[in-house]
Amino acid sequence: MIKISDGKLGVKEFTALVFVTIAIKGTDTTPDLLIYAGMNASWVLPIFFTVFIFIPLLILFPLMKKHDQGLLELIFRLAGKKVGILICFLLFLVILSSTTVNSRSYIDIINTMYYPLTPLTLQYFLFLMVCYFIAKRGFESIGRASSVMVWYLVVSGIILLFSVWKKSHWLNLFPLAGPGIIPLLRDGAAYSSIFGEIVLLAVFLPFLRSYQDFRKASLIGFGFSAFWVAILCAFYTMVFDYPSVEYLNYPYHQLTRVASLGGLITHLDAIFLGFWVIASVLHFSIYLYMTAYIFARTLRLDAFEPLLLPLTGLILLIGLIPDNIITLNQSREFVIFSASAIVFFLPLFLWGLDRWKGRRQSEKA
Amino acid sequence: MRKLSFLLPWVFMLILTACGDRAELEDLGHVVVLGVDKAEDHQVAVTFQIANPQVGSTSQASAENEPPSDILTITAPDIVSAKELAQSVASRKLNFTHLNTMIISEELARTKQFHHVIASSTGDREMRREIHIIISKEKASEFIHANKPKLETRPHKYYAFMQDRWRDIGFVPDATINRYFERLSGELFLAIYATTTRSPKHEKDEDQYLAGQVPQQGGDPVQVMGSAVFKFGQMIGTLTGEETRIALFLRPKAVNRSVVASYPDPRKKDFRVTVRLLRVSPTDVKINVHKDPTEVKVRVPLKVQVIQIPSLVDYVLDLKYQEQLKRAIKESLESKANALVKKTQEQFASEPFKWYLFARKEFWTMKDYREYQWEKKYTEAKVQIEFMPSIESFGKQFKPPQIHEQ
Repeated sequence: MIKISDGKLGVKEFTALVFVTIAIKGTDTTPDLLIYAGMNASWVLPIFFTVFIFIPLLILFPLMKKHDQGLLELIFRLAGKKVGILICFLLFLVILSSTTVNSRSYIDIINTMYYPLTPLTLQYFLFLMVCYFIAKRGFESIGRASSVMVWYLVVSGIILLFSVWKKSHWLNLFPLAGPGIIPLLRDGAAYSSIFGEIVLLAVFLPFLRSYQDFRKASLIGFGFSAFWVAILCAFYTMVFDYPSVEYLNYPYHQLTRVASLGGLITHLDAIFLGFWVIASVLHFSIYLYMTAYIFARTLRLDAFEPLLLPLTGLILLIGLIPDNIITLNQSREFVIFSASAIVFFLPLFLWGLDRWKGRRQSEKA
Repeated sequence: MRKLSFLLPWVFMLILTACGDRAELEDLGHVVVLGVDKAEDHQVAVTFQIANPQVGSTSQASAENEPPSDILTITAPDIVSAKELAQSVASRKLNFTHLNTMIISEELARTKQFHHVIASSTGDREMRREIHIIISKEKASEFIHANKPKLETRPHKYYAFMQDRWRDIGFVPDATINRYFERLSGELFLAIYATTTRSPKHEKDEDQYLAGQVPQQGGDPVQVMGSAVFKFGQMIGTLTGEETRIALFLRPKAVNRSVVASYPDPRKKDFRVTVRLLRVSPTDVKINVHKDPTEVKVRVPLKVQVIQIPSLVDYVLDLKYQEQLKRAIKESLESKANALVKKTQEQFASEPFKWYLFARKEFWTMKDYREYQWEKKYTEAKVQIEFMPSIESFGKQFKPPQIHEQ
């Protein structure tokens, strides 16, 4: 039975897409920030993020249901044209800067851990080219590709955990609160935009079959992603122990180096690198697509796919500016803080507008 | 456009195959053992043992007169620059990806420089954190040169096999760089202690030796026994093979599942009984941090398989004797463990038993734990160790065959 494609995504595809967008954050330089803030309790932070991000989601989802519109349309409808353009442009800046900073940090990982001699510029160029090609195929293909790949990614992840199991020690997770409950909560709020994409992914509602599909897929994908990031962080601490884990630049890639199945099957890192690169390419094609889509909507353009190539070029150019990853991490922290604020207050703002407008309308009537 | 889309995959195939970092297998020289010695001016003398992949393989015929490995020593400020300098001698591109063993001379290990060497080396992407650390009594270069195992032609195989044996018997700890990094804040780290020199010593108890003291005739030149004790990244002493075994017993997670050891025969004082000790469940450690001095209670459950009774006393069928034997093993283990705890408290002022993990469990935040200063508290702690052996089996005869003289 072959269903004719209607160009829209279902629950399965969108869940996978959400997972690829968010869960991969456990494998890049995000855990560095988490470990720095949460010490040996870094694995608690993703759970706190989830709780914090849930508040704006709880406000946003009913709004989207009520108006049956994606995030961007909702902004224009509630905030009017001028303010709408301003907000959308702000969102565009957030997504553009995080795409740039994150993609550069991925290339830094590949460069440091695997290909130190290949010019970074060339690696970055190739990486973004591949992402561009996938993004160019359209949103449906990205969703399909994610739903096909997600199983391979999950299974390879489970194999990784299995292969470091013997070297991990659960007692390393103690003391449970790490830096203390208050600092954990504070950093959980400040860094919560690490998972903020889930709010931004709401722009894709028009690409889904129904609002119900969207809500279900977002929540399932988000839940699993947070769980996965928490598990990975716990394993970093369990294998490397705190404070030793704090000195690691890229804990996921160090973990794949430690992995072994028995005494004979060692040096498994190349296998995990393959899956990881596939996941990151998917991840950034989603980002690219989202950047182009938000930009087009800001300017009220209908065709946005021609924008992909110039935006890719722009990201490449900006991404090459910082010299190394340390300067990058600082700018990344800035992006995260400002994005946290936007992601958190935008739904509140929209909700306020909606209430205000609703009252005015009922007064008129 | 169609032509372009046809061409593009081929272009990508050319550039995506990572030519920038290509490594020809033929071109690589795999360093399988790395030795580090102290040199003048804060430099290190790095010894590389480079494997010859042709020896011991099917292409042996084409390399009949080649040795299994080449050994060369270079003095340089650090390991990576030594590797680069060594390239002026070695024909193949030196590569650390298959490096599994690092040998460091005791002379270097006893200085502060040791930590600088190890800690900076792991920044190199080829250095894995699973590399085993062996401390040699003599210079590392002498150790590597002297190590010519008779039955293992290829050096990496020798170390791979030996590491498995060591883990089984538990005379030496399972020491990797990763574990070393875990224990830098005052906890004791145990590294493998080995030597090719000999200073034989006769002991009644078969495992109270340090490397080099085991009475040996023939066999391979390397003796691996006991452990080097590190605190704050510096070697401060040694533990004998037996002490290492006891230390491993007192750790929460067992690396060595079973060991064979002999214990004084309770009924005939001149003899000893040889048993196999099995760890079936993890050691149970309870630390009471609210008391002053700190109370540590350790319970080690053990299964005992009696293998040999040279005194020919019937411990098998006589239940009273059995109880006596059990008590003798228990007392012997406990007195040794207590002596070891005392030694670590007084001599090293810290513990190698990973008990800090249990102390950490008692606190809610990292700050509280650090303020508690576990290492300091340990030196005055009241430690209670209880071994709980239970005799599981007696080998495959009811009792030793007796001589019936008329």
